[in-house]
Amino acid sequence: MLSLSKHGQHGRGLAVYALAYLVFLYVPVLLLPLFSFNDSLFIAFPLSGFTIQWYAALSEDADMRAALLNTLSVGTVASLLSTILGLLAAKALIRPLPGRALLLGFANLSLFIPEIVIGIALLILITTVGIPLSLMSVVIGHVLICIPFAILVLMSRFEGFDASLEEASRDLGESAWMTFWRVTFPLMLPGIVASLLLTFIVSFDDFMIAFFLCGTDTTLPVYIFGELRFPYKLPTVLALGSAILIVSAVLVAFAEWVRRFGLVGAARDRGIGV
Amino acid sequence: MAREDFVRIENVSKRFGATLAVDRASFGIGRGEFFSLLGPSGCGKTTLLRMIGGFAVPDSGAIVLDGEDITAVPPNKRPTNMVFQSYAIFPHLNVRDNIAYGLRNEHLPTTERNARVAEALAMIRLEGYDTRRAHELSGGERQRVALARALVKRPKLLLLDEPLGALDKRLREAMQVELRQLQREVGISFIFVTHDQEEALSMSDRIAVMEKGRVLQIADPKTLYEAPATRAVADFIGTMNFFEGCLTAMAGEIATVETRALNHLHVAMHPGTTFGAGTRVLVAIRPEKFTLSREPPGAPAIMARVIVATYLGDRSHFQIAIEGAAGPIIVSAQNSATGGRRFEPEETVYLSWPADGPILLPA
Repeated sequence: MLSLSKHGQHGRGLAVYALAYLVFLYVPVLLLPLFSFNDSLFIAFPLSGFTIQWYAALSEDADMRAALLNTLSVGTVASLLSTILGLLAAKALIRPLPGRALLLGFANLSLFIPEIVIGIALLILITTVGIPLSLMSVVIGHVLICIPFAILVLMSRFEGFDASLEEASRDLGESAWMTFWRVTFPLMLPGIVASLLLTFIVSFDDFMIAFFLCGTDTTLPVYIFGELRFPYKLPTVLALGSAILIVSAVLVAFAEWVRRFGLVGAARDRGIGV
Repeated sequence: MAREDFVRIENVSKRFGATLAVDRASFGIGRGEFFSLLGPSGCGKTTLLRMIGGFAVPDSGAIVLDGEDITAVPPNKRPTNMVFQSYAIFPHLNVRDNIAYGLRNEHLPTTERNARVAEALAMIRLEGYDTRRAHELSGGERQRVALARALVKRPKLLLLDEPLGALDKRLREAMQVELRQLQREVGISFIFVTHDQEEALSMSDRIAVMEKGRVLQIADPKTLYEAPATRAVADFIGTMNFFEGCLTAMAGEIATVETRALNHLHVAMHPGTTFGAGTRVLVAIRPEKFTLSREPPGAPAIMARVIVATYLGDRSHFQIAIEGAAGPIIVSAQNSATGGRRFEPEETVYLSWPADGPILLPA
């Protein structure tokens, strides 16, 4: 705000633009919690009154709870697997390998392929191989889409990781395995935590892959999609959406905080800016 | 040699792609010796050190330590320890845990382990620094922690990869003295990699001069400076003036060389060197061996002209032109020795040298 007085007209124009930008980004999202507290079946202004009955209905919905549990299990397994695989890939990709850029491109390609394409492709592959559609097949799909996120987060932590630290550990008598646990892992921990959180959210948010691969074990987004067929369930879905929104936002913020904390720590440990 | 070699590097070669990083290096290092590998960057000195430490495996040849062939032994199983160029202090551990890091595998009772760490902290004079983290240490302190962390393992051989390179000049000079004293106290053989010839000269018992993967000469600092074996060594260590010439006669240990710039020169041969009469040779003379004077001196002298005079406080540098010389000759004179007299550019002077000044080198 201080800049407003300083830059006068020019600054005010920018402020208006920034405000419009934020409104465009967040108003649609904020409608969700707004109507989730509205005492009416219909999503329309004016609001008719405050209620928490939709949240109460939500907490009593056994199918929803089963779907939530499915989503949490899939998210946990998928984030663990993709972070482990991403860690190995990131460790290799920070080295000056021949064809490194190409490898990195391939590893991250799934970011740029429409999920519906990945979903259909996986559906064909998994049914051809004969794996029954279940949470297991959803995990396979989610690992695929989560790996690029894990690689990118972990590589940013590996950048500037002094390779001589691992050599020093070997020199001081530790095996490669113990070196990983005593040096690499603790120094990578902030990156690993950030990767776990981020990949968990990617899995948690995914509708498309789960829709194709979950069979009868619905995950939460697939469950929500199903509920939308019943108009009277809409406010409950809004309540659920609001809850997910808040949990997601908190997790993303936390993941970013951990990652930055790690970067600041790494910079500090290398004696930068001290 | 009579000395029993504690470390033997036997015909070691290492190739990276098209470059031969180390080319058939062969030499021995004595017990308790401070041995330096000296050369410009890319000469293979660090590669050789890393092979001794186990971080690279030679393509051919063997490395023997205390009678045991360690060529293929991984770094964690070798009785060697390394001080890395970046120091590689573990940033997530404090000073005490950094120093104790390598003791985990030695399964010592807690009291002994603590005693060893305390002893190491006292050795590097960082008592009370136990709980400091890497980022709270200065460059010199990190360097000492890295040293203590390696020495606490009681290695048979300590490897140091340009450990003073990151320090400022004053601290580097202090650490040179400190490191040398420490080495005498612990009595462990040190192999010290550096590109700084002054550092190597001031600290080492012996120095191996390397260039393009090859060991050019191994000698103590005085021999290396006073009697370099080749032009490359003479050029790398200090400043040297070279004069091309032809060996015309031999009388015992004294060779007579005909040069365009300095006319007839009598050069004492090193025992063991042989040159036949008529061979093309190189005469090398250090800048400080020359004397400038206005009056004709008693020693062999020639007329010369001062081109550039540079005053450096304790001494002065002159660039001198003489007829027949390829380029200017560099002369260094202590300012106290000239009695405060200065030589000015364009002045005509006598350039003389003592009998033991010129060195004979293969052309």
